[in-house]
Amino acid sequence: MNILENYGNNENPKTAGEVIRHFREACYAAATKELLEWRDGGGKVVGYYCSYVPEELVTAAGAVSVRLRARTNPTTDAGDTYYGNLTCSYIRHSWDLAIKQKYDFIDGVIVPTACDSVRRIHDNWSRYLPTFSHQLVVPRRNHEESRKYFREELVLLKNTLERNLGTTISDERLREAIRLHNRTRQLLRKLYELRKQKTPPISGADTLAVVVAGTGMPKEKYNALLEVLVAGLEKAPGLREPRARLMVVGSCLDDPSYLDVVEAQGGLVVCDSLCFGSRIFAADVEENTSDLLDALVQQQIACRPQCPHVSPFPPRAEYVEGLIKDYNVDGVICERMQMCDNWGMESYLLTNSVKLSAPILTVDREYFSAATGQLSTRVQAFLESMEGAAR
Amino acid sequence: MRTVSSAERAKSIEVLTQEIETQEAFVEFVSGVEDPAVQLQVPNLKSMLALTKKVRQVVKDDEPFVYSWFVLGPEIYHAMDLFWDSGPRAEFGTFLALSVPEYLEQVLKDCDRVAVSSDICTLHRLALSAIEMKRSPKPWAAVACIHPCDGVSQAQSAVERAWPDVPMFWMDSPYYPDERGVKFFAGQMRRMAKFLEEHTGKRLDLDKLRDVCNATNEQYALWGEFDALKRNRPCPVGSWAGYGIWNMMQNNPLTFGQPITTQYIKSLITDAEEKVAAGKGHLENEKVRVLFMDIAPVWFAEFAEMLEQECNGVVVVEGQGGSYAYTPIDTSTEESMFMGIARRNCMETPMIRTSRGPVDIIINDMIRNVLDYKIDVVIAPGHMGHKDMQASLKIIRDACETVGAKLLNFQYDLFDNRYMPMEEIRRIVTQFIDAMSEEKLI
Repeated sequence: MNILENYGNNENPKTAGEVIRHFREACYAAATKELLEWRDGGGKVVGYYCSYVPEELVTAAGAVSVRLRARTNPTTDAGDTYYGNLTCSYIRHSWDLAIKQKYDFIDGVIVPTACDSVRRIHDNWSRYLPTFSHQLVVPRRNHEESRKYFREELVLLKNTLERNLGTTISDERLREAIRLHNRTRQLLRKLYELRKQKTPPISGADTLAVVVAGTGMPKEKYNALLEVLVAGLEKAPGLREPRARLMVVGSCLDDPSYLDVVEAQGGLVVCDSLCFGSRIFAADVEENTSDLLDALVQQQIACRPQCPHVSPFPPRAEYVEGLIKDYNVDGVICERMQMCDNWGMESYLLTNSVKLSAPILTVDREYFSAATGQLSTRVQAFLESMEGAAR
Repeated sequence: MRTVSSAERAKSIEVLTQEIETQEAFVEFVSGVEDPAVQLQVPNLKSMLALTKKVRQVVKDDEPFVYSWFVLGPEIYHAMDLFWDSGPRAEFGTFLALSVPEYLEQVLKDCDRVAVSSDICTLHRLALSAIEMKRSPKPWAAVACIHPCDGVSQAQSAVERAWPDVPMFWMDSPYYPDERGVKFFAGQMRRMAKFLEEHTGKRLDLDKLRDVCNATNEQYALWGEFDALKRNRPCPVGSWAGYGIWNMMQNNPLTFGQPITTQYIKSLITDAEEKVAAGKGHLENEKVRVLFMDIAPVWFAEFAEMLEQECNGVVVVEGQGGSYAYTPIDTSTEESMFMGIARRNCMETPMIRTSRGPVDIIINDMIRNVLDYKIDVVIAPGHMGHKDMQASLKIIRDACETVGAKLLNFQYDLFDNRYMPMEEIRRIVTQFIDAMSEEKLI
């Protein structure tokens, strides 16, 4: 069945189940229904790659931010002219869409320097596409100088948005945007709290769909749907007592069906350290401060959990260990997109240089996973080895 | 508190001795080759051997030293009288040993034991393997290299975990090659100097810093002179003839800023000038001039020989060349020296210059090199670890078209020929050049 067959027919999801179904469908649409409505109403849309972009600035500029994905595009034929095959498949699928001008619902794009492949999106975009592209330099360290450097970068980004969207980002608008995004983060944290239960009311795959869908629609609408979802799940019974409580760690995973394969083996993903997951909402932005740009810097570089782009490793390992304890995790799955240097070394470090209190399985994948059989087998073996160790 | 067990020390001495013996045999062999072009390279080869011996001595005597990279302010280590060992020493510096197939095989086998994904740059896997095998001995302090790529930056975390009792300094790196970036990096280098003072007991001597900046300024100018001579057609020197300059000027602490290096560059210049004056090229019948947009591969000698013999070609410019415009360091004040050192290390040294920031730097360098050095064929972007270059493919191709150079794009591993065997490289390169020649495109 085509998952998008009835997408958009459910005009106003009223139950937790309807919201989840709506979000799952949204994950596999080129653009969400809510985004297209915004666009049709004359609203501006700014695309972005990677979670180091402070969406609050886009919101304060009166536009909607949308994280660019490529779930509708299993090909890379046009993109391969631009990117060699040693580039990770997410970037090649996404750039393929971009160069075919299929991201026609955005007015411009923000590209952080978060990895060697993604940073070149800006170089390509600014040469070959008509819409604006802004390169956001993300520091590799959480030093005082690095935070100062990043604040200057945010000033440059603010200027770009104002110039291209014909608007002014006042402190008042920025504070309002921060409040809106903090509300999103609070609701997502509430959702994740429910997963600490012995029998969580929502699967890992569905939770991933909830987070992913939120990166592609106006936050007001998203928050309203999240309110319905959380209220519904608070009253809902747990799904089942899982064979094992699992955690997923790794590079940008935006495909709930990937976790369906994992969970089909009887385990349940109860938490994650993902950039389509807990890392993006673990910390709020300070609202009550006179320097709001600095507050954004603090949230992005100092307060929230980082991916390997912003070293060092120990706090990341501590974050994973903390989640293992908080969510009573039995096993960790570290997934990594092939060719990703950042997560390639991270999976090595998590496996070889620290002793986590739960066993770890490392899996390489492509953006479009063909090897679901292999994944099933490896997860099955992982679960069996955990059960064997427990006996 | 750093501790080195007697077993660790003994292991380091053992593997370094094995490396030295391999290098000695190779240097002895090369010293006996009568070809004057080969003889010109001998001082560099000897300096590499001397470096390995020095590393072994430092381990034996337990002298303070720092583990770092050539792009993180060797001027400062020199002015602190602080010996530095580097990740690249364990790879580039062992070229001598790596030229011996059996030794290379052993090093790669050791590398395979490090359980890091094989799609991550082999240089970094080799660096980690060198630490595991004690070829890189445990330092007193380490400076993490965070540029130019994800691979090197992430590898530093593994280095930190491998030496948990070694204090490590982490700096950050700017993106754009502007004054803001230089200032940012200069600030990081000041903090690094303080860190090293604290952990090694050495002191930064500003007079010594000034002296080494002046000496290296002169050497960079000479390097530029040498490279300018390669603009002549036919090229007066063979492929990678300037590799030793890079090694002696940037990668070897024993020759860094030393008169031996100045003499070495001058000898290469004299040789090239004489050939130019006589209208002689390295090849009697030079047909193809190549820009190799990567650092020197371990298989560069085989590649150069193949290019010469089968295509009448020569690599005129390569990624470690001094064809970049190195800015002389202004030695008038402490501030100006730190700014100059930051500019040189972050914006001008090989790989860091091109791979750290926006693609415009790669493209501008490439265009300038193609035009100035009359390049026919550009080989890029090849190395399996250079993900930013892989992501610049179309931009590079378009730039080549603009200036009429032919782009040969294929993938290889600079350090491991199992990835792309030399026979396959030979087939790809010769077929391409033959086809271009037949079509009279080059």
